[in-house]
Amino acid sequence: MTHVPHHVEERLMVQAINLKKTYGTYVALEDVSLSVRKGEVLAIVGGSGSGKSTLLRCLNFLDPPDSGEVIVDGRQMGAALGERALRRRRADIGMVFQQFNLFPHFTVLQNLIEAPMAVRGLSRKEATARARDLLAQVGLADKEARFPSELSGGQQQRVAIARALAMEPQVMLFDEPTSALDPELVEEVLNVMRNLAAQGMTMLVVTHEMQFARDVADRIVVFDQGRIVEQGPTAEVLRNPQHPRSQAFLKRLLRTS
Amino acid sequence: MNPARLIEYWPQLWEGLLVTLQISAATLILATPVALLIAILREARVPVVNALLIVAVNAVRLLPAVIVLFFVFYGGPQLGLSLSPMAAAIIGLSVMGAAYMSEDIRAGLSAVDRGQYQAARALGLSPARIFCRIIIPQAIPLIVPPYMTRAIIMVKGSSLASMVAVGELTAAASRASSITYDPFTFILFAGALYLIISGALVLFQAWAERHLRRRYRLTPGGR
Repeated sequence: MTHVPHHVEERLMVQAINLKKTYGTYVALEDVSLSVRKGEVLAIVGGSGSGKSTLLRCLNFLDPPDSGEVIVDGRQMGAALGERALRRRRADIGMVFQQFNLFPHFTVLQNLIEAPMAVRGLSRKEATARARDLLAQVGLADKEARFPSELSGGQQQRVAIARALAMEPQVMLFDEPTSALDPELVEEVLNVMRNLAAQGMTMLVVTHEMQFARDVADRIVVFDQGRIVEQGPTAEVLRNPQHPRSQAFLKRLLRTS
Repeated sequence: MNPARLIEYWPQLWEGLLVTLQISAATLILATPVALLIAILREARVPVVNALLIVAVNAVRLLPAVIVLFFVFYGGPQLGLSLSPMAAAIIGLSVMGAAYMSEDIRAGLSAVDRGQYQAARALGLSPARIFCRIIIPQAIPLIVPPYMTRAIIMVKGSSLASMVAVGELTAAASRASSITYDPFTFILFAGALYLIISGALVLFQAWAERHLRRRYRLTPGGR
């Protein structure tokens, strides 16, 4: 697999400033700041419990940070917006989960049209047309009438990506999107993500797939114990990690992938 | 067993059966939405409301049904509301039923995968929409078995209304027994009628579960 070319603009799409998040006495994020430019792909790596997933959930306020700011496309996220406005802003940020979290009682098509109709106010016809486009894009045009339980894990995750894209998000968050998949199904999901990157989508990807990071990510951020211990251009960080924690972590990952 | 006596007392028994059916239907119709509301409020975990509901639900759950019925029937007038026996019985049994059912429903709601809430919220769906479209449909197949068991218990529990002078099936059968000194005939007959009503509910439950499995493509225990 070779490098996936994509265009990165100067404009900042996501800014996190001094994010802090604790659960009881456990510090999940300790003063995390990062910024992502439009069209940029950021790989987020780190051990389990290092704060990667918490960061993603703080960015779209699924789990509001205790303090700090999140700015998406120049506009502040936060409870101060009010519940309705926050929901609408949240819909601009697509999220893909490790466990897919498709709605099991809906068909594939229903999974894709529910939120566009309810949140974006699309008619059923418009939403269905958009959904069919996206299903074709992720290679599942023939599965729209199926239920999630009838699909493989890789197919379910592609539907989940399409479901997020149906909201026409400005940025996509991926929380270990291939970690729950059988090894032979990983590649079909990564390919969909490669295409997305090539189309200029801004992406924050929590992942252990180092080959994917190498091919697609512009930058890598390494988390340890709720802090960013290292960040930089992918090639540099992979070739020559500076921090002892990222050295140890990347060595372990690169050996297995 | 004396069938001739059954015919003789049939009008009273029939009247009792109708009252039993009325109490059962009324308590189920009243208790179900109240229980659903309590369960949703409990799940929403609004601080003060939640604490109050925990106390109220447990207070009712921990009391014998007869005490609750007596409280409504005899206590009502003291609080300034004079209730007919029938109304008191329906209110008391509904309160009992709602308390128990709210726990059954809550268990079903909280058994729905947390990831479903996360995905729905990430898509920007409103809490009301998430509940109606995403959570409730997935909880219903989990709620139906305990709900129907509770419904059957409530139908049988309607016999307690006889304690506050409601002439329902048990009361009619027991009165006929004491007049004729033939409890065997009447109690057996009343039992058979309860069995038919409960049996109908069991059949309904089986049908509902089959329907839901097909409707939601659910495999037992699966996602």
